[in-house]
Amino acid sequence: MTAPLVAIDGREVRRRLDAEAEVVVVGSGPAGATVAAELARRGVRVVVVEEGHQARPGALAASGVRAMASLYRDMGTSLAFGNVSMPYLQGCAVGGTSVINGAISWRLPPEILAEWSAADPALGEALHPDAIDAHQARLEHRLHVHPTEASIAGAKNLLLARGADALGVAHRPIRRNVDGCVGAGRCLQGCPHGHKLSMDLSLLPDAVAGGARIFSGMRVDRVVIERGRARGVTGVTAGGARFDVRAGVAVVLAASAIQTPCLLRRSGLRHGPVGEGLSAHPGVSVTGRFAEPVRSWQGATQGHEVTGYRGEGLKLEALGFDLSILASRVPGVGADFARRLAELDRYAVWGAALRAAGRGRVRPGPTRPLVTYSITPDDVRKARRAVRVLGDALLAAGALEVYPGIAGFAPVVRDRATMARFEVEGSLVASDYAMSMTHLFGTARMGSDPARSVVRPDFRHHSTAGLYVADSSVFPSNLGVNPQIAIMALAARCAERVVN
Amino acid sequence: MTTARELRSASKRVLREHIVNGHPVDPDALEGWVYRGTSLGLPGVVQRLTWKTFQKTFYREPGSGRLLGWNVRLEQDGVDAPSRPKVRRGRPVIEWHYEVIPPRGVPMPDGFDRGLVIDYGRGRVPDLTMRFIKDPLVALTPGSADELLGVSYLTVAGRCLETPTYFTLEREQRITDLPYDQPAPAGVTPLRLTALERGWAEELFAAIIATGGDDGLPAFATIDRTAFWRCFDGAAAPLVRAGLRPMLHTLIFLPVVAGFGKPFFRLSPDERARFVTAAAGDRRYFVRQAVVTLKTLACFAYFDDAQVRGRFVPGGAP
Repeated sequence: MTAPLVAIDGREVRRRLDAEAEVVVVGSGPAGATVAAELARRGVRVVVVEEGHQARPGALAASGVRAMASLYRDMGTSLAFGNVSMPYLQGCAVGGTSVINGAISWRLPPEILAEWSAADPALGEALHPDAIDAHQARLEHRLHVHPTEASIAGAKNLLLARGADALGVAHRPIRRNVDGCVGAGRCLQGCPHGHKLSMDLSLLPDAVAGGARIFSGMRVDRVVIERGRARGVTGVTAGGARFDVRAGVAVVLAASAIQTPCLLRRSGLRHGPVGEGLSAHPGVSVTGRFAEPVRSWQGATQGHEVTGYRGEGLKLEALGFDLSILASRVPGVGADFARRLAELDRYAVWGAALRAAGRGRVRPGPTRPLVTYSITPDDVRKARRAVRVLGDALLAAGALEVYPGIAGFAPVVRDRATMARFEVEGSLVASDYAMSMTHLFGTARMGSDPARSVVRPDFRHHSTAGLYVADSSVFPSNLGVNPQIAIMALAARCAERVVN
Repeated sequence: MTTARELRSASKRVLREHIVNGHPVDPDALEGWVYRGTSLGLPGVVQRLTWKTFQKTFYREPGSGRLLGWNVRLEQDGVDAPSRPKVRRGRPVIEWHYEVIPPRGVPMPDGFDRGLVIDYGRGRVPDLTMRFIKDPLVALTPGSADELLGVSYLTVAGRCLETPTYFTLEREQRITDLPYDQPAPAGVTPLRLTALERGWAEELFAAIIATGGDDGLPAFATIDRTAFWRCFDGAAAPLVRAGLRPMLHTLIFLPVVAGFGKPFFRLSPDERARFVTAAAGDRRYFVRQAVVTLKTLACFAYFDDAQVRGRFVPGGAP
């Protein structure tokens, strides 16, 4: 008989709880799940503490608002403030953001690893490309990463391929961590069929099979530090009781680039640039209307990507949303909007992720982290370029109209010449662009210089023994591609260091 | 950083330093919680005659919005034993009702104004013996209300007299029942829109979506919005919920100065349509953003309805 995934559900814990393990992992997303699975495989007694609850595929809501209320942190309404305020999305569930992402799997680009090594040669040794590649290959095999099949791609993805072909830019089906995907188009609401191999359906069960215990519904407030050594974590259960989990060997933080620096600072660990240097992939999107039905809510949620602009720091993807979010991207208000809603099946939204140079910072706030982030003038130019090429691709794929949605420019564009004009005349004011932020990095950076980094190249905290950071907080920069596999590969490396 | 546990053995001088150098306490973070209290700084004989551990509660009164509370007596099973309320005639022993207030304008010793103040003279059930006592409260960790430190002082004839009765509070559990003759806490938060404001929001949603004509889609007013509001009130970020109110008020009263001469809720359907179209293209960023935000929320609410979803997706279950 298989053990249940969650050993203790914090909603049911109403009296003080004390537990102990050799290693306590905070967070059950891709980083935490990987560390837990790797350590459990080596016989280490692990407890994973997760703030969110377990998502059960058969019981997941299709409605955008219900899914976001139950699986996203703050219903997806967390905001970063800066020269353009933008929401950032994070999962809050057993499995973390892997439960609500598009299952896109990219390896850590070699040129990024080379950048990191050039800036700090110690990283080149700690993150040797051969070791990282070996982890990535193993993880891809475990997660069944493979290109999206045309049979389940759906029209929006096939149209992007058509548009990219017409433009003559490189494109490909997205490699995703799914097994038996039927193209339900609900990755972002949590796969209702359990076909996305999110952490709750892959590495966390592996960890549990190896003896790890998962505590859900428990929010860690701080790391307990005694005589300069991390001895465990303390926090509050969803049932309202306090809990303490003692760690005999180590505490591994894998709570995300937002929560991890807050946890460090709340624990009194302000050494180095904790919470500084937040980097991300801000995204822009453009909506287009086709003559034929596209039904953007059907087919693989994100099944096709344009890679031909990666040299410019842009990666284009087809986006699949719930009806509610798709509708909110359709232009107009009032009767005009109602007419468009009646033809909602004709609309497609494609997005671009920017490898931005913008930076921000994270601080614990009274109730939520305070996140600031501003993009640079060069990033705004990239955003403008992205809107232009997205519009181009939509028109090249046969869209009748596209809607750049940028103040001061034509609200409706029907030809590529006008889109080309946008790249010259379009606004360079950051706040004119509606952007959202995904893939957050760098708030507890790794490096050999304690003044410029928070953890060492072997993931150990510079000043506190027995404390490791395993999530994307340690990344010295953003990647320009979806980071899940890279995060997991580095987390696997972190697990090796913990054992050693 | 210091923990409540570490303070158990601290001297009165150290405890006072923590009060004076403590961190602010977010009153919303206290709301609805029971805290486990531990007395510090009193001689052992006094503690044996009185108590070492107790509970304090924090409860937002729905009608007034005041943050109230009361003490619960505990069986003295030991500092680390689970809380076991003393029971009399089948009910927990409740005493010392209070209100939690900001320190502004409250007479107090210098430096005691870092956090909040428990004022026993303003409780829901008056207690003449306690009316002169106040307890400043500070957080031990910046940004967290999970562990607090307090101390009692007396105000007599305009003078403040410090006492050695320090105590720590550790967040323990949710409040499960009230000592008052009224319903259990309804989870009302100051951020939630009033019924009137929610009505305004829905009228704006309906003007933005404007279905129900020859588009073949249900009118906004006919759909079930219950789940949407439950999700929004329960899960959206506090900052976003707080930000909705000024956006809403802007769009409701902007028509008064934008050529319509009356607020949105007094406009005819045709005027409403003209206003939302104009506001969506307004030159002011905040006004445009308000429309975008309300449009997004309107879409969330509208497409949560099974009938609407069924128009696009077979079955249509939300």
